[in-house]
Amino acid sequence: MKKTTLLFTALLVAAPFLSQAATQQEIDLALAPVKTNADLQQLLNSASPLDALEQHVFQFVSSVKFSKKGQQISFDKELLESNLSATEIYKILVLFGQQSSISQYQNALIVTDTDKLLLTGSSLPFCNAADPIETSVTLDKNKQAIFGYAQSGVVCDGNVELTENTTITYVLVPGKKSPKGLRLVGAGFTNPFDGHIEKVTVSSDGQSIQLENNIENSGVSKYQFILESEENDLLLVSPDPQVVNKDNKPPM
Amino acid sequence: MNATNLIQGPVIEVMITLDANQEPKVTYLQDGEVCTGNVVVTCGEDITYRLVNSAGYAFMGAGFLTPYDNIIDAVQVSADGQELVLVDEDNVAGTTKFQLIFTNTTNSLLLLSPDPQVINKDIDPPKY
Repeated sequence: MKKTTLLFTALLVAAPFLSQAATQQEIDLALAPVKTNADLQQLLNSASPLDALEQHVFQFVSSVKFSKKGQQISFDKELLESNLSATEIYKILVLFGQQSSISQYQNALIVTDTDKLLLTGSSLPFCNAADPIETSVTLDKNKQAIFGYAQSGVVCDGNVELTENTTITYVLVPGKKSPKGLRLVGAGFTNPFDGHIEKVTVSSDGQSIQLENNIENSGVSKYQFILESEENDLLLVSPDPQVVNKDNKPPM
Repeated sequence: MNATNLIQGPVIEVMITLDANQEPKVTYLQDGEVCTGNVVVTCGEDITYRLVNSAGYAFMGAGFLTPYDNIIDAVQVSADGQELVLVDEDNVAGTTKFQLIFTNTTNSLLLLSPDPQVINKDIDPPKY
């Protein structure tokens, strides 16, 4: 009985956001400049975001498949992800009204702050501190490390929001493109004295790290993971996840 | 700390203070003047960061967002943690951002500096 109530409440809370997202996708699709093969051919006659694909442009164009009603357009996503920055991909997705799917391109090149924002911005949900956060580190073609966070296969932004004292666990998930012999060394803080996080513990094998918060100190604490690898002797730092200690005021 | 065969490059003094909100502030000084902490390198050299007037702090190392770009070749920390050397053979042109990592005696957490950067300038040899 309790589970049903909780689920129902969660859906009620999520419903407006899901509805907003669906509406935005419909607007994006309705205003997309390319809905048919004829639109695409016309686009090729002048400068367009597709030019970023350079020698791969015709390979990409030949991968584009239109449904009869023009509602579903598919294409080679891997070709975009392995050759372009997040911003370049976003501009191409706009052509097809699919810009809301940019978070699916986590292996895209990150060159600018806009690229980073597109891939790690507010579109991703918080991670749930109650469960371990799977942390992946992959090297792109420029050997730049890209951090990704997920729980049970669902991508989250690496940040957590807490309302009670909690032990947050991040676990490294090795992949084919991960730096060789990657190990966590610790976490660093731009302000280690704010009391938001009080203790950091790294497992002996360097594959997981735990952070313990103190909910009495409300506020936001940003931290960065510090890692070593067998690629070279330098330390890798992650971009900053954050902990938000929510100030739960008692009811008046 | 291992000596390298490179020439001694800039020596940058690093001072850590706490502001009115007890937030750490990292200041860089060169020849007594406040600077950004950034360095432009045109030939292989050792870049030295030295802690001054920062009791209770010690260098733990330096962390890089792009440690595999080969711009910095090695990092060395002195036994007392008061000096950190970036070994830059200047083999690769480009800019790398890094953060200095400090231990402190107040608690067990690590302090990270905002990111200074090293710029390896690609100097073309003169044409004859």
